Formats: sequence, C-alpha cells, structure tokens
Amino acid sequence: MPNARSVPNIDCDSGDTTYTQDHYLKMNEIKKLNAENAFTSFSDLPEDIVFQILNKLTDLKTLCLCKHVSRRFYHIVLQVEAISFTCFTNPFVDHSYLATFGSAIKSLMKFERVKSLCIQLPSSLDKSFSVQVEGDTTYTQDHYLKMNEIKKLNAENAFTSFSDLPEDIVFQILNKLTDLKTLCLCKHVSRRFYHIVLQVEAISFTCFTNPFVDHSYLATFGSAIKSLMKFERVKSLCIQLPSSLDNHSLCKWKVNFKVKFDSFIYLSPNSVCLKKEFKANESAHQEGEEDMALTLIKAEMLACLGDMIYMITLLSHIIRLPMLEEVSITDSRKRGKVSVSGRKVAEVRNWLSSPSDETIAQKLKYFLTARRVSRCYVPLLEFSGYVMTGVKLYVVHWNDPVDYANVSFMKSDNDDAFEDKEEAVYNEAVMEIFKKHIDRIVRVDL
Amino acid sequence: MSTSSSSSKKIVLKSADNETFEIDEIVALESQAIKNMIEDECADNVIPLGNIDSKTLSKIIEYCKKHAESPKKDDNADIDEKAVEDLKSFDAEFAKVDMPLIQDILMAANFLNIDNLIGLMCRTIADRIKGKTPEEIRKILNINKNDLLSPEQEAKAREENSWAFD
Repeated sequence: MPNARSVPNIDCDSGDTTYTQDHYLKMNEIKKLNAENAFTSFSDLPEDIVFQILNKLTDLKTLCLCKHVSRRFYHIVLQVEAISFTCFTNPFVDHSYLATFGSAIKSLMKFERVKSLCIQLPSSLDKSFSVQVEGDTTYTQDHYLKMNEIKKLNAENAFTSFSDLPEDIVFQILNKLTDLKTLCLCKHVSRRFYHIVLQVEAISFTCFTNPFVDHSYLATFGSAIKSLMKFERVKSLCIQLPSSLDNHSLCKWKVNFKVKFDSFIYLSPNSVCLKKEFKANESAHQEGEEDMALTLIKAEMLACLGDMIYMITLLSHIIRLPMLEEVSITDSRKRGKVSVSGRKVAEVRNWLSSPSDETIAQKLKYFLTARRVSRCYVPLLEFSGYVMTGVKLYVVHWNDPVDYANVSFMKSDNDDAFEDKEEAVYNEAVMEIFKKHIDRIVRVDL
Repeated sequence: MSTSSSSSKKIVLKSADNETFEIDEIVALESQAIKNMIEDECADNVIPLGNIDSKTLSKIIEYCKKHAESPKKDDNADIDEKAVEDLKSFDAEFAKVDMPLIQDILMAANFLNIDNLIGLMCRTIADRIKGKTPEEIRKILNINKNDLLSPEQEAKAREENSWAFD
C-alpha cells in the first residue's frame, strides 16, 4: 500500500487540502471509486455531508482550528449551526483571562449562521447546577446540551432553572414574602423579579422607630412609604408602628369609621382573667376610687389617641393604593389599630383623599376639635366566662347623639377581618358595658 | 385508606429517563392533572411524564403518598392533631433539598397540578430569599447576569429603595 507520507496529495487548485492517514487517492481517479485500494477521500464527500460532520463538532475551539485546515473547511465550518464553548477560567473573576476570552468570543461572532449556542463558564459556587436563560444560551456546570435537543429535557443533566419557572409560580413565591423590605430588595435581583414583584397582593411593613416621634427617622420612613406606593396591585396591607405607651397597661383602643370618623374607644382594665381563675379579693374596691382612676388614666388615653392620629395620617396616604381591600395599621403592642376593609376602603379613601375644600390637616383638625368625650368606670365586669376589674372606658365620638349600637370594637361591617381572640374579649367587654352599665357613662370635658 | 392493599387499583407513571413507578391510584389522585386523566379514562396503561426525571418523580411520589395517607380535613370533623403535626414535620423535612431539586419539583408539581406541593415549594423558596441582599438572591436562585436591570433601571430603583439598603 502506498504510504501517505511519501506521496502527499495536495491539490491546491480545487481549494482543498486532504489529509489521509494510510492512503491517498489520485485526484483524477477520484470519481471511480476503487473498492480495494482507494477509500473515499474527504474531498469526495459532498458539501452537505462535510457540513453535517463539522456541525457535529460543536466545540468552538475545534471549529476555530478547523478553519485552518483547508479552504474548503474554512468555508463550510463557517456554516455550522451549533456551537458549544467551555471556558475553564472565569474571565469576570480572573481578569488576566479577559483578553483570551474576548478573543474567543470575537471568533465565535464570526459564525454568523449559528442557531444554537452552549457556553459553559466556571461557577463561582462549588455546586453542580445549570441555568437555561431565555433565548438560547445555556450555561452548564458539568455538561452541555445540544440546543436542538434542549426541549427534550435530559433527565440526568438538566435541572430546572429558576428562569424555567412560569411567571405565575414566581408570582406565588414572591407573593409569600410580604415583608416590604425584602420585596424592595427583590426588585434589584433581576429584570424578571422587578416586574413580577410589583404584582404582589399582600404586604406587611414593620417600623421600629416612630417617625412621628423621632423626626430623624422621617426621611427613611418617607422613602419606605414611597416605595410601598409603587406596589399598585396590593390588596392587603398590614403596617405596624411602635407604640407610644411604654408601660404594662392592658388597655386597647379602636377607631370606627362611618364614612368619616365615628368613634374612638379606649378600654383599660386593671386585670383580665377567666372567671374560674378569678379571686374575689382582687376586686376590692372603694368608693371614690373611680374618678381618681379615670383621671390617672387620661394621659394614657390621650397617648393612644395620639397614636391613632399618626395612623390616620399614614392611612390617608396609603389608602390611595388603588386595589386595596384591607388595610390595618397597628402598634407594636397590639393595643390599638386603624383598620379598614371591604367597601369601606373606597368610602374612607374618598373622604380622606378627596380634593375637596378640606385638606388632610383640616380633616384632622376637625377630628381633634369636634370631639365629644364620654367615660365610665366599672369596678367589676363579668361576661361570658371572663372577669375584668377596674375597667376604665373612654369613648371619643364625633356624632351626637352617641349611637351606642354603632360604637363597638367590631360592629362596623366586616371590619373584623383582622380580629383576634384577645380583641374579641375586649369587644365583648365594651358591649357588656353598653348593655348593663350605660347609666355609669358620663359626658366630660377634657 | 391503606396503600399497601394489593387489591387497590394501580397506576404506572413513566419518567423521562424511562423509569416506571407503580403507585396506588389514591396516591396518583393527589395530582389534579392525573385525576383528570383518570376521570377522562385516558390513563389505561402507563402515563408517560416526558418532562419529569426519575429523581424528581420519586420525590413527588413520596410527597403524594404521605399526603394521601394522611386524613383529610373534610374527612373527619375532629382531625387528629398529631396527624396534622406529623404532616407538618414531614413537609418541613421534605423541603430540605437543594435549590435545583426544589425548582425541578416545583416545575413538575406545576405540570401535575399538585396545589399543596406548589405551595410548599413556593413557601420554601420565599423563606430562603427572605432577608437576603439582591446579590445573595441571585446566587441562591442562580439568576443569569443577562437578566440584571439596566444601569438606568438599577439607579432608579436604588433611589426609590434607598431605605431598604440601610
């Protein structure tokens, strides 16, 4: 057999260079294939077959080297449709590799017919994973997939990546975060996050410094509320402000709306317990004590009223969120809350944010000046299994005469959306006073 | 509802890598998608799940088995509190897997329409990204650099959210 090395077959005119290992073919005999001595040479292969071969190489480095093999190769290799590129040094981490990497990408860009592209970069993490980004670039840690097979998920090599997850699932994840700060930070994660996070329907925000008391915190607070207002799809909102009362009082308060403010109720017992645990001597109470008790508690009541005004101020702003269905602003000790839900949201919104002659400040002024105050003291209050002692009640109301049927901790429509067990007990106590001790309630001036 | 009963009807699921899983019909019914297939009587032989690999599928079957065995809330008025607790701790333990598998499970659960499992996986991911910085979240979820905000968007968002970075 002829030795390939001794008789190299280089036919530059046909634009082809052929390398054979053990044999060569004479170019003028090429069309008659000699079954015994002459194998098909590479240059015999029709262009589409050569293309199919080169198209199976995929590796960018090999393809680039193929360009140097022959003119024929040079032209056909540029037609390939699938390329993979494995990069073992991360150019974004090791900058000395940046020039090489840039050169590789530049040569990649010459393959203008490429339809599918797999690029593998080293991971900054030491774990095995893969990401398939939108469009068709795949980054894999240990393997790469040919893009034309990518739609059939290869069960062993391809993990679902976060970008595969459908939008409604990503929404479900983000909608479970609720915390405003986390949601705001999520906006920075990616473009996809940015858009989906703005769709969330439930937000909670806990504020540890009272911006209305510590004014240095006002700018931060304003920025937080401003970013809250970007979440225009929010339906349910819970905000918690720190309580101005820093004692162990068992008081609770609530405000009722009846389009405008209707009433503010403040209830403060000395003790609350189950009837079966109640010891009678705790109720020992002397005449004349009640005026004293009510006067002593007045400052506390006014502090609560102050908290309520902060909350209403905040409410007047956030109630503009268009999809809002329920909003609750509480203090950190859960003593009081301003909450509006259901169709009341629209009513309160209309009143608080209507561009009428009244500004918010005027509305609040109305609120402070037009009040009437009633109070009462009940030394021992028993109702449905509970006993309260030394009960002080203040009712601030804006409608005269007082409609006690409406003045309650929860009577107003579906305001009880945020109701908890403790609140229910206080609510019953108020109802009990209105039912059995209405004679004790007296109007006072503050 | 014993799942070991040999008389109960079996369903065979086939994963993308051609592994078959024989499970009780009651377990398969946890999937709304399979339930619909069974109801429409188009689940006679083997149900091929060409987009779920065997590793993911076996996790999902583990979940469905446990949940099918546990008493449903509407089954019995006085629910066994211990069973509820048991299921809770099973769920917590079940979710202790790495992020790629969580995403695989989530994708498959979405395909199979298993609401509880979708919820559990969403909750798990939400818990893992809570209180993390954007960079940390990108790393946890392996978010691609191509999907980052444009510098203008980033600057705008930073300005809006300056308080959140304190």
